[in-house]
Amino acid sequence: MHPLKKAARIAGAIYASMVVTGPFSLIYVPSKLIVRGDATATASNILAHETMFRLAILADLIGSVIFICLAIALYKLLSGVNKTWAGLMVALVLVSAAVGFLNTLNNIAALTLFRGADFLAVFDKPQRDALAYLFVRLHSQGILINELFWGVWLFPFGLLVFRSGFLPRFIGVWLMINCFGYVILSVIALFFPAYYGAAFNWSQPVLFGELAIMLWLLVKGAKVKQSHEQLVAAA
Amino acid sequence: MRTIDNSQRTAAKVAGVAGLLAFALVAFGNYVLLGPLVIPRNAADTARNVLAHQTQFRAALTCFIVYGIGSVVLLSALYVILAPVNRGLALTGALFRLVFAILWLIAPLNSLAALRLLGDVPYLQVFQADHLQALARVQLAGSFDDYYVGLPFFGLSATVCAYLWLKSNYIPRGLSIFGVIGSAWCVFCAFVYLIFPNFNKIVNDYIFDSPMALFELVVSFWLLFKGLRISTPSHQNSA
Repeated sequence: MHPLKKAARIAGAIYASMVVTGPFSLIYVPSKLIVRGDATATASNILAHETMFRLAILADLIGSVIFICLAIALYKLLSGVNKTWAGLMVALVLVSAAVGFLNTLNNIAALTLFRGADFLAVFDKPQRDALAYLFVRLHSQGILINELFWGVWLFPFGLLVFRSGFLPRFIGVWLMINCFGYVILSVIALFFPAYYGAAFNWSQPVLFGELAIMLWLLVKGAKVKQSHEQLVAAA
Repeated sequence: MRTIDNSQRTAAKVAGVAGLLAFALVAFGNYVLLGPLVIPRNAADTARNVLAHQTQFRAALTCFIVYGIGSVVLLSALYVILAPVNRGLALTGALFRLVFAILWLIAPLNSLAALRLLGDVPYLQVFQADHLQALARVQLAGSFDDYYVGLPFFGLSATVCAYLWLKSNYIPRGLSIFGVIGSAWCVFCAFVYLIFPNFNKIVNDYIFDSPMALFELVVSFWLLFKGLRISTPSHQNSA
């Protein structure tokens, strides 16, 4: 297999592995365990399904590691197009992954409070649950801030795809639009949190740019122009 | 004579714009938007101000987040400019600034925690209002600490970059020397302040990082309006 095609497939496979960890920790577990505005019910759910909550924490951490691996794989694929833009893409991913790592501490703090170790006995249970729920909410807030970085790294990525010549230009444009989708969502989360849910639903077609590039890399790889010698040999 | 390629010229413009925009945003966010809301040693008044001007508070946080993005753009541009001088040192400088950018982004998270503690949410009503205000003030003070933990990394990055500017002759030597001294001073102050928190009673906090900030500001203007200077043989000889 041509090295470029191989690099594209590897990047696609790494990208695809995020499909498992992301939705599990970001959508499935919160929907099962967190009862909005109810600290006591959330505490009971999390204590009853502690392993699931711990798996979500692990999925968050693994997701950040995969994100860094993805950046390196994409750098290998696209640095030949423009080293500066590829470097910027990696730097933005590194910041995002680091924020993701630190954000898991909020969920770990929540779990510590929900479990109520001896040293927390100075707080009564409703107070511990309230503080723990606050940390659960802060974890969500951290995700909303990180959304800005999930967006901005897509701009250099999209630009590199657009200029590459071996990946479809329309996906490059889609990724750059996807960048602004995340940025706008993050701003809405900060300033107009009540409208975030609706905005998230409406923005889905824009956010599918990432899914498109992932599938393209995985299924089609990179379009490699054969050299004259290769064509002759093939004939 | 050290040559300058097109990617370095473009990166110089990008660094100039990113540096100036980042500086303007952080100054506006901190001194115009956030500063008037925080009352020193008064958790209750600070809480009242933050709640009464939530949008202003959130706008300040947005400025800080965008500053984080600007820092990443700036470090990438500086790496492109300075890598031909010494690739290893340029990468070290970029990584130090990356750590600073990451630590910088924790501050808005702490501030959002303060906002959540002060918000009218039922699950926090098990605490008294003054307890919540005190906790919120601790979170806001935490943002301040986040900056001072990141400052040595910022200073180290600026020191390394100033040394590379000096070696390259891309900007005036006097400015580079000022940058090395100002940035190294900042690293020194940041470490001393972490060990002796009363150090700011001897040396005002603003003196810690102002020389370095001034250097970065002047370099941004220089890069944007004058661009990179090709070192002439006379410069080389004097070096």
